[in-house]
Amino acid sequence: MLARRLPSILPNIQFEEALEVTKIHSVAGTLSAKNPMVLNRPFRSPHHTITPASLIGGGKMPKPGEISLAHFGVLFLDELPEFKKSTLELLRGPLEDRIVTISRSNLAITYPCNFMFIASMNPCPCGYYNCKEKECNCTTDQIKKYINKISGPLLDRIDIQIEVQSVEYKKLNSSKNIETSEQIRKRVNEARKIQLKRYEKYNIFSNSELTPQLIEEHCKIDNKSKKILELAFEKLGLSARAYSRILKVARTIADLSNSRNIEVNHLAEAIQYRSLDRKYWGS
Amino acid sequence: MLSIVKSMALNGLNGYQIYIQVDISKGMPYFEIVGLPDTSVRESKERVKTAIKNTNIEFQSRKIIVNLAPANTKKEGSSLDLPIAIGILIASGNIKNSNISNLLKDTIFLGELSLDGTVEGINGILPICIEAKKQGIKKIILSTKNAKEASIIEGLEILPINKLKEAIEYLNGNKKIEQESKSCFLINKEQKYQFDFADVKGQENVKRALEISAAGGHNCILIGSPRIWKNNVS
Amino acid sequence: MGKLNKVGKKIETIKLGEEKYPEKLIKIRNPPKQIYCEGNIDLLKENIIAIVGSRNYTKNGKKLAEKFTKELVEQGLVIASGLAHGIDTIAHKTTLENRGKTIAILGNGFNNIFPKENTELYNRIIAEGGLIISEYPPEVKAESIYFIKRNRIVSGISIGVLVIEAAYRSGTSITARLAEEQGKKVFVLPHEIGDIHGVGTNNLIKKGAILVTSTKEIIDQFSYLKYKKIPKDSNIISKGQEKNVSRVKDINLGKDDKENNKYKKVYEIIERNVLDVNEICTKTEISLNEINKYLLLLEVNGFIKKVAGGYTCILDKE
Repeated sequence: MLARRLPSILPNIQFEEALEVTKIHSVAGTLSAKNPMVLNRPFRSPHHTITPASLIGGGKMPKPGEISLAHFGVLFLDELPEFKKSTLELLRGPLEDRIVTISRSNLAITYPCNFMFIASMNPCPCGYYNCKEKECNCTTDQIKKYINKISGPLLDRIDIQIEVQSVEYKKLNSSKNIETSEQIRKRVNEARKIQLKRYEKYNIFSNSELTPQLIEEHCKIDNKSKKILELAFEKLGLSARAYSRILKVARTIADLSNSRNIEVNHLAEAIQYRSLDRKYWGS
Repeated sequence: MLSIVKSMALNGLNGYQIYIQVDISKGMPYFEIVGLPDTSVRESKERVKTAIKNTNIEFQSRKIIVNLAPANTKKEGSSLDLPIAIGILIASGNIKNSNISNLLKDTIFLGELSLDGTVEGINGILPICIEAKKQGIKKIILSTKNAKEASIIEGLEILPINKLKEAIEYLNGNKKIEQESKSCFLINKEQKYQFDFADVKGQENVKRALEISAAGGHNCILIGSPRIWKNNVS
Repeated sequence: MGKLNKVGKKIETIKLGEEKYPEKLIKIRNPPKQIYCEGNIDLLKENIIAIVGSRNYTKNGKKLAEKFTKELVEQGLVIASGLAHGIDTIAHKTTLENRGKTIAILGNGFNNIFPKENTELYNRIIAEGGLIISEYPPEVKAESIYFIKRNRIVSGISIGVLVIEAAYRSGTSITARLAEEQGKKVFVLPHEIGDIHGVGTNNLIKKGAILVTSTKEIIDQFSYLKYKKIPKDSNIISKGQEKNVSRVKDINLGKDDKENNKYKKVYEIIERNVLDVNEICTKTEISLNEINKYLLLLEVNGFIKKVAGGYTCILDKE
């Protein structure tokens, strides 16, 4: 499974980050006497039957939830539409604020939750929409209903939306040398270093945390790129809210190729990661 | 006699000091904990009583009042067992040391007691230690099970104990507790991951998307038939 | 007779009893008192077949609708439908794409096209020599009862009705019933028993509709029509291919020839195949980091499009 391999390419954790993560895990009681410190970025993948309290945190004796346990790491939700809609909606605030506050009658507790949100889902109820090999049996309405299980505001907070195509087995064997996670991680670390340096004064770690003002400052694009972006919005029917997401992702792509400015191909790639925004989905 | 022992509790990730004030006076046998204890703290009465008894010390049938200050915050969990027991033992005169106030000044006690007097580990040791250091605490007496986690923080004297008895002997000045050495943790040491991207053939564009999202911390959603990614491990 | 309405559409009103009134409609039980027409009225004299189906269709339904429409157009029939969402829209569009003629029968006035999204299609039908009919004056707004009523015209002007997909108790089933009453032939595609999109069609078969699995079976039902064998590479497709080839020359997106050639390379590799990004990368030997620029620019400039399973070229500029 692709997403499960994600931890192997995550950027190295800093000591301060590790300490903060360990604090949360210490409170939650997930540490053992043998491994009393979290030494890697956490990867949490709760099942879709999870309750709001265990996802967000809370309970009679408030404890950090999965989102806080995934602090500085990854929260992976498999089969996203299977989660209760009301549970998913709770993610909206924490995804934006990167902290979560649990209020009780006599106290309010705040836990940090600066996590990377990774989800997977079927394209439609039967799973074969946009699939080459098999026909999809769903009606447009069914597909729309399925996609609508995930609310717009939540989808809004997801920068990269990518379709996964099945690969024919014959082709699988013919692939040439494949990169290992280590090679990928090297590039990721380099890109992260650039970001850490650039955002030193702002107390943020990565491009995903850019505020609108910072986007203006650090994600400048030239007129040619602007034109392409406008054209893409018009022709592909992207929603207006995708705009800042595209710029942030383009910034990261530029960082990965160690480029000072966002070039046309960086921008073009970022636009391609808006699959669900496009008009054609479910029409 | 009145005794005051320090401990710490957590509010979220922030620790705050708790003063356990124990007063033992003449009167009908009575044992009460005040200062907004919740059920788990109130139950510690029974644990403390039995643990003391099983350490071969007589639990005095007198009027015992335990106050957890500040009295306006709710106290939770079992981590106050050890300091309550120590407080009672000092107040009852079972721990006698002319230097006791000096010993207790910058020491906190953390731990749950079992009925046989064993000191058990508690959750949230690391944030408590960080906060304790900030507030000028020098020594922490806790369960051996928590010792390694506590030793992440530099500049604190971590004194791990197994049994309630060891704490009593230490406070009486009869025995020393060996200090836990600072543990060293190697962050990001080259480790083998269970899964590697090299095992995935094809799907270059998805790998690329995950690389971008890892590099920039971007949220990402993968859309496709689950059959695809579950079978794709070849 | 010919009068311009406020939008400037040329709408013709034909009253019952007038010489121009289509003969086919006089024969039905309750012919409309007048019909409003826009476009090529002579189409009504041709052999028309109606293609109807549910608004809510499956991908398979879409595929079948496209296949049958295309083949019926190749047989020289005019395609009638209701300009509604779903199968209706597919029938109209496929007809136009295959250079056929199509008639849309509305359940509303000309000034209140319903659904609104199909206004563009409406204009295209007229521009490409089709015909729009309504029995309601231009100002009338859509109402569900009107749609049921207009179905008698759909079947009335046609020699037969082909039902692609119909759920239980749908408007499509009503059309089929009306056609039956008018003595028109009703053709139905069979569906699996458990398929909810085929409950209506299977019911029609039970009631005596003609089960068909190919275009030839439809044509053979009419003694005055003769099935024309269409070679596999029909001229319609080859026309498209010619255009396809010529469009490579149209590509001028890069700064210089070198860059342009890359765009052309990508386009030529995709051609009539459906390829996903990874396959395009391997075949063009352009890296994954770069390929997106070419794909995006080709896409926004209308040379390629995203379809199920990847990208394909647009043969015919829409």
